[in-house]
Amino acid sequence: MAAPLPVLGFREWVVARGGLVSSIRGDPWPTAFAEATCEVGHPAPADDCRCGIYAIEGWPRLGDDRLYEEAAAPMRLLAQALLGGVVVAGIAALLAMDQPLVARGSWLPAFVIGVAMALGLAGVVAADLAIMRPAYVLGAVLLSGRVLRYQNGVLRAEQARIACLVRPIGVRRRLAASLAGRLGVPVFHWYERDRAMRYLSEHGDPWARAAADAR
Amino acid sequence: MKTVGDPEEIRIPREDERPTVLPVEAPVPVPEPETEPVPG
Repeated sequence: MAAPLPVLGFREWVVARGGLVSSIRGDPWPTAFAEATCEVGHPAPADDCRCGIYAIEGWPRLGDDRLYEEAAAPMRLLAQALLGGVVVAGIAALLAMDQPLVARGSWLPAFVIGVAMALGLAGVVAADLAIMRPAYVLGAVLLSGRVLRYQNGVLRAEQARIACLVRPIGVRRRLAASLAGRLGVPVFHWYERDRAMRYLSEHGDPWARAAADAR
Repeated sequence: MKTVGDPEEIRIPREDERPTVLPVEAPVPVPEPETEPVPG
């Protein structure tokens, strides 16, 4: 009988200068493979501890509140859209106000309005940059060893291997491709769920199937 | 990550417990049929 496939899980990582790090604890993931450890010293994941490698059992939906960065994604996208809208509207208002003044030769008021508007827009952009979160990527992991599943679909495992990365909305293609290349795994885009799931079905089983096979 | 409720548990063989995949042997070259000597 063939060995059972690992359990398929999905998770996110924050992009740091050295590569991927876990989004909550900041643990580095320098390679595609990771093994859980616990600072207390017992084997991970242990029953009365929070140690282990975490994932969720299904493809993450936009704003999935089981993930930290993905939960903030809708607000982040809205903020980016509003910022873009404010900048475009500001430039349009500036042109609308300045053109009649320039046409009448009122250079000083036109200059003052232009400077004030530029400062205001720069402030909006600076505020956005100041609160900007780091880039993040999603991905699928193949979980093995001891694997626990909680009622909200959160998985906690002993070992994990990254099967692929998934580029979320708003993250640059080149960045996702570079990270995936460094890990030696394929990368899919957020809209390629079906294609990614076909690929992943060859490497891992969803929890339900893995649990049925294990019983 | 927030967990809810008591967990179910299964055990999947760790990577180091999985049978190693044997390397695929190179195909044995098929000998070419011997050609009969042509009488001179």
